[in-house]
Amino acid sequence: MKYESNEHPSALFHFPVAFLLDPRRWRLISSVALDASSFMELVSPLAPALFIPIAATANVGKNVSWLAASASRAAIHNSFARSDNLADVTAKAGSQSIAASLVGTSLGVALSAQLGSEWGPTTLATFATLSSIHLGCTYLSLKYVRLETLNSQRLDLVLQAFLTRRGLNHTNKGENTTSTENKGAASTATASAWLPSPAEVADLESFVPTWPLRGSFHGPGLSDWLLLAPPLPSLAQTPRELDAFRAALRSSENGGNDKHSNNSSNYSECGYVLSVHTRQSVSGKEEAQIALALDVPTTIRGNATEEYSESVSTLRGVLHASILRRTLGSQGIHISAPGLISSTTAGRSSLSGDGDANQWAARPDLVKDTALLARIVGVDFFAGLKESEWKADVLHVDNGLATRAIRQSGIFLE
Amino acid sequence: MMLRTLGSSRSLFRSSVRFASAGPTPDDNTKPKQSSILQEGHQWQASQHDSPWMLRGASGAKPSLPEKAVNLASTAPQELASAMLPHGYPSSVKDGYDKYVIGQMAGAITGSASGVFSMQALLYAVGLGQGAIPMAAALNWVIKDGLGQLGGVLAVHLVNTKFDSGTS
Repeated sequence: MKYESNEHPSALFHFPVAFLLDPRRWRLISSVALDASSFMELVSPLAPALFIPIAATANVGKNVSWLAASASRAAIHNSFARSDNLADVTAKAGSQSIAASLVGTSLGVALSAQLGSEWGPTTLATFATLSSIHLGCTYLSLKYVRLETLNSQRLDLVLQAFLTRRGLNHTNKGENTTSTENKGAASTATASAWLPSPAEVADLESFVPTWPLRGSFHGPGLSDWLLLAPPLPSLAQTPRELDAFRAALRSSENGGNDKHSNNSSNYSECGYVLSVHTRQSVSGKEEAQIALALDVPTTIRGNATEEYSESVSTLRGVLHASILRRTLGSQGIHISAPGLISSTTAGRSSLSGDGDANQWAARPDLVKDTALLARIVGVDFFAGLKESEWKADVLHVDNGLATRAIRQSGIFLE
Repeated sequence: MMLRTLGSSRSLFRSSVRFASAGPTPDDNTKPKQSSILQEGHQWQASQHDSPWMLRGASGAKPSLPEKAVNLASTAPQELASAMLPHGYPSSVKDGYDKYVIGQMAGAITGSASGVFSMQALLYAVGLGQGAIPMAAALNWVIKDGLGQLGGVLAVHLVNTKFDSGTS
C-alpha cells in the first residue's frame, strides 16, 4: 500500500489484489465496517449538533464496506463456481442479498414498531443483538469458503504441511513407500498426497481482523519470517543499477571468493535470489534473516516463459526459503522477523567477516548447501501441485510493504 | 433452402404438438408420412386452441381456486430456488456453498434489520424523532426500496431463464 506507481508494475492493482487474495478477511472487515458505521448512526442522537460529521463519516464507512464486500465477493464466488457458472453464481448472490435485505428490512420495521419508535436503551440493545448475529453469521459463512488461489498465508501453510509430510530427504520417494514400487507412478501419487487440500488449508487459515489494525489487513504469512522483495528489475531504476545489483549478488553468493566463481550457483538458473544473514543475538543465540527476490536472468527471460514465469519462480524461491528455514530451525537457529539490515551494518559485517559476532553476516554457504535439496523437493512439489486443486498460476505473495524500505536500505548492496 | 426452413419449422410444430398433447407419443415410423403430416397439422390447430387449457392443468377442466393455490404452492419452492440458487444447484457448485449462502443470508437479514434502527436514529437525530416517527412514512420508504429491488430480482430471473433456454 506504500507503492508509488513508478515502483512496481502491479502497483496500480495492489489494492484490488488484496481483496482478491484475502477475500475472507476483507469480507469480514466489510461487515465490521458496516456495523461500525451503523453504530455511529445509532448514537448520533446523543450529539445532534454533530449530525453532519457523524452521518458523513458513517456514510464513508458504509461505502468502504460496500466496496470491500463487492470486491471480495467476486473471489469467493469464483471459489464456489464449479464449471463456467461464475456469472450465474454472482447473479444468484445478488438475488439472495436482495431477498435478505427485503426480509431484514421488514424484520427491522416490525421490531421497531414493536419496541416503539422512541430512541433509548432498548434500541441500543436490539441493535447490539442484531449486529452481533450479523457478524457471527458472516464469520460462520466464511468458514466454508475454500479458496484455491495462493496468497502469502496459504502458500506458507501449503509449504509447511508439504515439507512436514514429505520430510527433507534427498530421495524423491516418501518415507513410507517401498523401493519395489514403480518409482515414477509412486512419486506422482505421493507428491499429490503430500500437498494439503484447499479445505485443509481453509481450516487453518486465519482471517479474523485483530487489533492493531495494520496487521489485520494482511494476516500471518510468509512475511512473518521472509523478507519478500519485489523482482530485481523493478527494484532498479536503470539498467545500470540492475547490473550493479546482480554483480553484488553474484559476488555475495559466492562468498566473495574466487574459487567458486566458475560455479554459476543457482542464481542464473532458478529465477530467484535468496540471501541469508546470521548473527549472534543479544541473548547469545544465533538468529537468521532470509530475504527473497525474483530475478529471471536476461538470457532466459523472453523465451521459456512457462518455466520461468513470475509465479513459478516465486514458488521455487519460497520453497527454497522454507526448506532453509526448516534446516536452520533444526540447527537451533532462530529465524527473526524480517527487519531491515541497514546497508552500513551489512556492509561492515561483510567487510569485517566474522570479526564482530553481533553484526549481521551474509551466509551464502547456507543457501548453496540447500540448493540441491530445494531442487529435488521442488520436483515433488510441482508434480503434486499439477495434480492438486490449487490454482498456482496466479500468485501474488508480495504484500508490497518492503519495496521502498529495501531500496532505501540497500540490503542487496552489501 | 426454402423447403428446408419449411421442414424445420414443421418439425418444430411437431415437437410442440407432441409436448402439448401430452398423450402417448405418436409412433411416426408406423404411419404413412403424408398422413402423419396432415394429422399433425390438424393437431397443431387443435393444440393451439387447447394450449390455454394445457397450461391450467392436465385434466383439461378449469381448476378451482384451491387447486390453483395448491399448484402455486407446489411450484413456488422450485421457482424460488431457481431464482435464488445457481442453475443445476447441488452439482454446479462446490462443497460448502449451501452453508455459506445460509450464513450470508442470515447475516444480511440481521444486518439490514439493524440498518433500520440506525436509519431511525439518524432521523431522530435530525429532528424527526420528537413524538413518533410516522410509521406510514417509514413503511412507504421501505416499500419504495423493496418494490424496486423485487423488480430487479424478477428481471434477472426472467433474463436468466431465457438465457438458459437460448444456450441449450
